[in-house]
Amino acid sequence: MNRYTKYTLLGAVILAVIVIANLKITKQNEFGLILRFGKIVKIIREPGLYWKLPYPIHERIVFDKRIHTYDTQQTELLTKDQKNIIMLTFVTWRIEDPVKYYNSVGGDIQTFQSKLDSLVNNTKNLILGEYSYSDLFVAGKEANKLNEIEQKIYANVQESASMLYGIHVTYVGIKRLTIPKENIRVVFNQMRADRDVIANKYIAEGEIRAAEIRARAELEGARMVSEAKKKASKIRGQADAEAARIYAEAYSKSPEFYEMVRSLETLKKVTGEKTSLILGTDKPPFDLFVEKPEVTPVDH
Amino acid sequence: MNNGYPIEDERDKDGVIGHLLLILFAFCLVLFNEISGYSFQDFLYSYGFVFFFVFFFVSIQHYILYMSHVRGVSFETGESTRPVPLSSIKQYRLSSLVYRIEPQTACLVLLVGWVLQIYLLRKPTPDPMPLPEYPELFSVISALLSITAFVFFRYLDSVSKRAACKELSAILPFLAASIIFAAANAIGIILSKYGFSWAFPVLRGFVITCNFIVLFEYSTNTVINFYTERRYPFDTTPLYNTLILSKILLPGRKELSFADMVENRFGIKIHDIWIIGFLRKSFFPLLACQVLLLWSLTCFAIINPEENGIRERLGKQISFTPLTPGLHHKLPAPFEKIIKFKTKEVKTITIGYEGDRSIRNLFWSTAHFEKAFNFCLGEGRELITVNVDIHYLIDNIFDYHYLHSDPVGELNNIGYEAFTEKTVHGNIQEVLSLDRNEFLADIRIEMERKIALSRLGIDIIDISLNEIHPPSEVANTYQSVISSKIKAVTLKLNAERDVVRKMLGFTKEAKSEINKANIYHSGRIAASTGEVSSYMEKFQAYRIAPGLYKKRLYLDTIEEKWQSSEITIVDHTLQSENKQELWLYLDGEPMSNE
Repeated sequence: MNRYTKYTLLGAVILAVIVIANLKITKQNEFGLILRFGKIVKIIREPGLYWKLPYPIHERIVFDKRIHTYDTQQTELLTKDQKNIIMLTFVTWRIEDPVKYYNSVGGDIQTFQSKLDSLVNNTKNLILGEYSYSDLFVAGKEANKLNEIEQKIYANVQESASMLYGIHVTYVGIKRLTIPKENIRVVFNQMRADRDVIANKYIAEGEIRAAEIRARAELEGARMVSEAKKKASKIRGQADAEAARIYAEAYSKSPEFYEMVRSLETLKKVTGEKTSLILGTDKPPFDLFVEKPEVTPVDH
Repeated sequence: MNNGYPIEDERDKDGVIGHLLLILFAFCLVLFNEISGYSFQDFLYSYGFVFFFVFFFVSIQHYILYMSHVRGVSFETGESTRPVPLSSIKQYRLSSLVYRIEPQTACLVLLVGWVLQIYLLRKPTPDPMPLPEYPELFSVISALLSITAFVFFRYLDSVSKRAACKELSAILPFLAASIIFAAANAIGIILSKYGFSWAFPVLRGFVITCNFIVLFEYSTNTVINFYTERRYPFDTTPLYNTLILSKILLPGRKELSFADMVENRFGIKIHDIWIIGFLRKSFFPLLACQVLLLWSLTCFAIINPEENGIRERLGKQISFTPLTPGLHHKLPAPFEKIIKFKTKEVKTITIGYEGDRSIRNLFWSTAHFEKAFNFCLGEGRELITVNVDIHYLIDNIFDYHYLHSDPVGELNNIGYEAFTEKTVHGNIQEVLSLDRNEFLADIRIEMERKIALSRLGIDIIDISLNEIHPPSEVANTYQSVISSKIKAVTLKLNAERDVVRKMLGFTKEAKSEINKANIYHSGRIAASTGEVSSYMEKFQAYRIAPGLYKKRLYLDTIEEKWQSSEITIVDHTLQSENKQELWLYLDGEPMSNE
């Protein structure tokens, strides 16, 4: 191999390396920009294989044309009624105009996102100034202002981002609403106070209920005893009536005899050994001391 | 015979001094890096423990040799002696001792080296690896000093002709490597701090791997040398030499090749083995064949059962239906590419607080994680802690891959948005008392609507509500509400218990009244019946002889009842002065005799 051949081979290898090194693939989800000495000379929108002149003549810059999502910084905002709120939003965006995007932020996604952050925060500040604190938390889906706020932020950010950075903002969403750390303690105290009220209410209700149960029982008991006494009286009355009926029946046979028998029974009961009796001589058997009565049977 | 120690040669003597200075310089470099903020682990990673210990022992060892033989100082007496050739080393007991303890020092270095290597390999590397906090300036200075030291070191190595001292000659590669590693570490830190986050871990991995290789070679050499016959004090080949480092870092040096070493030590002629000869001759064709073979392997792609794929040719999507599991052939890289997605694998994201699940506790009343995540509730004066897992599948790989750079991040944001919208309208009582299935179903519908709208290519499989409760900071108060509820129930139960007791009393009293009445009733009837019955018997007798019976009854009564009574009999005809009766008649009328 002579020197000429050697140099030719070496030249061919170097050329091949240069050609291969400058063959670039642009993917389906990418944009490409070709810069010639810093000037944009070609925009590659379609995927495929492209060749460029070696650096520094040509420089290729690639952007991801997919939708990106970005969580904005947590910033403390003031509402119309001057209350603090932390609103965390997210923005989805994609590159619409790669040339404008490259010119405005140098194609650096971090730089753009810091600018987007500033843009969104500014818009949030402006829009939240139109709403009071309670608007954000108002009950009922129909009265909900969050969607309205999202729409307003979106419209504002979309217009500015498109105009300034060649970006199409596809969505702005409110990811989280929260209270500043300094206020959280107060909120917790309030939650505690609310709970204390509920706790006391439960105890009071329990006490009232217990008192009610006791009172109802007392009433029920009294009623029950009263009923029983009434019934007992009735039973006693019935007994007396029955006894009276029995007695009356016996009495009706011979009232005179009955009275006598009953009187004798009573006398037996009310007199005893120490009873002193004063009897007339007209009473048998002491009538014997006076005259002998004639006993005649009496028919009834 | 001076065995390579021509101490009369002033140039070589200077070389020895230069090397000693170099050791000192390298040691200072280590100290500098230590002072500038390296942790112990950084130090191990950056310099390589092996080299440090080799410096330490070899430096001491060589200093003794140098002082004994080059300067001629007796270590036994401390007096100066005339310089003597190393061949007279046996005259110096201390120097002999140094040689005698050489295997022990070598083994000690070996042991410490392996222990530290195992420690480093077992210790998990944090991800991302934390960078030292000291300013970049220290790393820049460290890198510059290391590179300067290495250049100076190479110069010294070339001028000293390695004849000054075999001991020093052996540690030269170690020194060089440590300095190179120090530079690599410093450069890695600088690169990582300027956006190349991969540089630091990669360089540390490189250092550890190199340490491992050198340590392995060092161990092998030590073992081989330990069992090789040595002729003290003339054979001063150190136990610790490394061919690998010498070849890489000091390529100009004349060292025995591995084949020479094996031939010298074991008599095996490696170059004569035919396979070695074949490999040496056909190295490039074989290499080319291997490269071609490896390249041809890129013509195939296996899609696993849980996967689907997209085919791209030169970056352009050429398959419009997902590639199904199986073997697929394609043009070799970089012309065609198959991108695989695990479409059947259920993936999960978490909404709400996040943390290490292994340390999560099941009681909401104590903090779950260091950072709780609370959703703000209605009127903005209440908070609720939520932890929800969203399980999803990749539904449409084309939308998933080509339309969104971070579809999972978007899904996460949509989830948070849906939860915020759902919880922000109610108060805590309402949210906690919602039908949870309905609650999750609403969130799912809302998320699916938004996913469809933004074409995420994701299908939600399930939403699991792991936890929903008030923040743990107010847990005590919530517990007190529960206690109050329980207390209220207790009060009611106590009242009911008292009522039962009282009602029993009332029932007893009522029943008693009824019983008494019944007893009275029965007694009364019985008494009247008995009495009447007795009367009727008497009446029957009376009907037969009324007058007689009456009298008899009367008399029976007197007999029976009054027999022991005091009876006063009064003439019934007696009257008082005013003609009044002196007694009362029981029936109101004077008893008739009839």
